[in-house]
Amino acid sequence: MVIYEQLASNLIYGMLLGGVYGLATMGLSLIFGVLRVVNVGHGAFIMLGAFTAFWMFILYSIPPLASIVLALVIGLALGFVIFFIVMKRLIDAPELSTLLATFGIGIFIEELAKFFWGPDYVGYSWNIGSISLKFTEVPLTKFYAFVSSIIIALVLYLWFQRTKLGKAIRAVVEDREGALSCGVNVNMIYALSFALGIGLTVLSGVLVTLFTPVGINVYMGGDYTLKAFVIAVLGGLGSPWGAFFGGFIFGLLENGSYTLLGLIPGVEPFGLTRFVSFAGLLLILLLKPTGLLGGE
Amino acid sequence: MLKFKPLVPVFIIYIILLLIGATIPGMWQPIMFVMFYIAIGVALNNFLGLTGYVDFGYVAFLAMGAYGMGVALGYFTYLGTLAIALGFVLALVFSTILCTVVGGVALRLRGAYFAIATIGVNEGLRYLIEGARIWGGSEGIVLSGKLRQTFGPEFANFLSTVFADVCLIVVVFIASIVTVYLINSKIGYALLAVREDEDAAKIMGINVTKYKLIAFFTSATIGALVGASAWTLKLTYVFPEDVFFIHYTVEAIVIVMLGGAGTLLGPVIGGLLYGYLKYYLSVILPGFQLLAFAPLLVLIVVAFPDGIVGYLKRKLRNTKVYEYIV
Amino acid sequence: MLLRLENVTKKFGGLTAVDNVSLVVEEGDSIGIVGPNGSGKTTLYNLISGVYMPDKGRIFFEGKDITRLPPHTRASLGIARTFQIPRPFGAATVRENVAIGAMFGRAKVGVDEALKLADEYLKLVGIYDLRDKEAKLLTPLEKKLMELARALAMKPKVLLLDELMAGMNPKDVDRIIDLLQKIRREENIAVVSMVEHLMHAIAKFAERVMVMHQGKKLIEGSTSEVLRHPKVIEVYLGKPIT
Repeated sequence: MVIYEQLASNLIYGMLLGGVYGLATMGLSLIFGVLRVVNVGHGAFIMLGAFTAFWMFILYSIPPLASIVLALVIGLALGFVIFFIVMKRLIDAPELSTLLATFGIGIFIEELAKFFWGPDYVGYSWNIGSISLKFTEVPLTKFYAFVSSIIIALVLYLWFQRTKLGKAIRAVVEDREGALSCGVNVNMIYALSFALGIGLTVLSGVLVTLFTPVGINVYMGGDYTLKAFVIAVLGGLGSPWGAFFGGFIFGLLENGSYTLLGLIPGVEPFGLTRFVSFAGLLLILLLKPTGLLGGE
Repeated sequence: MLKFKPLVPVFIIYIILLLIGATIPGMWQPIMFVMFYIAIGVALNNFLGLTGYVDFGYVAFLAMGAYGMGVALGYFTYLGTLAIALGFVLALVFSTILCTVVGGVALRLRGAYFAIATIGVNEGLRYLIEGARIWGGSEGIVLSGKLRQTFGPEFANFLSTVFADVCLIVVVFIASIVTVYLINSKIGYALLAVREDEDAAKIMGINVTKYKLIAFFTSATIGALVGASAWTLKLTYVFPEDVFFIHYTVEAIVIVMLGGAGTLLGPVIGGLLYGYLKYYLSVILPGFQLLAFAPLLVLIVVAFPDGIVGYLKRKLRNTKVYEYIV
Repeated sequence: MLLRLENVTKKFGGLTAVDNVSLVVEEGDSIGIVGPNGSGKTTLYNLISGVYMPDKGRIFFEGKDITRLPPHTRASLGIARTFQIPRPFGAATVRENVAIGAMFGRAKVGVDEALKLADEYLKLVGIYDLRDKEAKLLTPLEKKLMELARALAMKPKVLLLDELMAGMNPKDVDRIIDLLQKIRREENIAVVSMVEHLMHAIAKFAERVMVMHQGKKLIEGSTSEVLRHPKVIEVYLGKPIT
């Protein structure tokens, strides 16, 4: 019975985390879907969200759930700035340029963060109790993180389906020329999509800390970048919805791997799981680069 | 022999650097510091510059070289000087295995997907080594004691100073020769086509995956040799958190782009400038070089994608000097 | 039989771009493929050169089944093409562009020989004086001519031309047609030329014509037959040409 309990609690944990992972990756997929740009610096923005949650809580006692809004605003603003200073000039440049540019921006953000906040690990603890399930206790923070992810994803879905701007974005993804001839200001759509993608990413950094409120560090992004790409490729690189569901699958698999590897003596499951993620990425790219859930 | 004319300015620069280092007291270390950056620039240029693909996990090849030498000297020390030779062999073996695995899977894909595939390479390998406790795990391989025991303190010292430096210098010279050979050969033309328009290249009859692999293998091999000599031999230790450090990849990329991707002279100029700037910046702003160089990379990509040598080529297009700047 | 397409079909999602098309090309043929935009001509070319694989049907070249072969292998066998919107290797010179064709096409010569051959093809096509110019600086017409030279340098057995003569003035069109006829005769290359307009060029050049409409082969036959056929006129021309 203990095994089943452990498995079940792992499943739940993996699913909750997966929701957050999924949201964290949607920004990446959105930016690729609309602008065909791979944001290699993805993790750095998650780090910014994490630090936003941290500073707001430590300095002003603002609960992380409220920081979500602030993080979104910061992300949107940052996204617009980066678009107009850098990305706009690279619209017709070769792929290499955008890869290197987003890479450089990510590194710059990390180094700037290190300059202001130092290289140390920080964390906070927000204890608001937990939900008791039959065989495990789910901390409310994790539960809220999960619920927030779902709600935000739903809101996004409705926004894309119902609003004029949302439809305009979908039009540009499907057929840029056609959208142009329908009077859509494609440049503004690019700017908006990029900003929205960054905004989502920074926002999800807050949610990530709800799950893991410790280990916040200027270089934490690197791990999340890799995970995000595994999820994005899993779900199909240009598809935000694929990313969201891919997140669930990844969350479950990651947790399962962690538990399984922990059973092998002499092996360090934390690091080895990372390797498994990377190997998984190679495997997916080998077998089905367009993603298991459609997409591209 | 015409093909090798462009090596002239490159070799002149190398020789001047070495003369400065050998004659002016206190300059040998800074010169070798610069040489290291030229080396990784030349190494990466063979891939990034010639194909236009970026390998975000590039440092893993230096790590493979470092571990190759580390494993030979650490676990086979009893072989004596043969262990050193074994070290280079293992460096090549390890880097080739990695090259085959990553390249075999990822080079068949388009640029962006390839880049994504490489994002986790260095971290992934590092976590594998640490997590599965391979080759000492996170404790790495420490050589100084064993070297002194087997070779005696004098020879051991010689190995990690003069010998290591000479190895690096030899690698740099050979690497440049290889680069100019690639650029002017059929392979170079194939890679030019791949870089410009990969789909059109296929239609012209170019097996793009094969040529990408050749470039990838070249940069991997040179990188491994650099790791074996400039890291393991010189420092006498191999720690996973050092040898898989992503910053080296960033630096190599900056060097290639700053100097001029795809040119022979580019990474030499890039390495020279970068090494020099880093050496003196580290006095003013220790540990913060990337803060300055990351936005520089973005600037280069946006405004000067051809780098310094690319710009020079454009300006000197119809002059006699043009033949020497490739 | 040089090139044979057998019931080739290609779908993109819900759209059938090429619908059950069969075609035979013999050595030295001169064939015109005619059809409005969206009739599937470009997709057909992409299927032949290997950019796409067909969903149904097969493609044979010199008796060999090449349906699943990658583009670069087909090029080595002797299939060359030009693009409607030229795709030069911009950073290379005109001569280098053409040399690349010689190096990796069917002939596969070395670098030095390829550069010499390139000069010959450039002279043949008439742009020899542009040989040292960076390809990206060429005018659209010059780029088209360079693409032709580049494709010829591959020493193909079949040459697929995609709207090569679109936008050319009548004098140039005539010159190109004479050049193509000469090449057909001397090197026994089959030339397939794809057009949307320029019926006069097709009438002058092609011995056989295939008309495509909405992905399907509407009709195929000798040029004079096809261009007077009431179905073709109805769907496409509006009135018979004289």
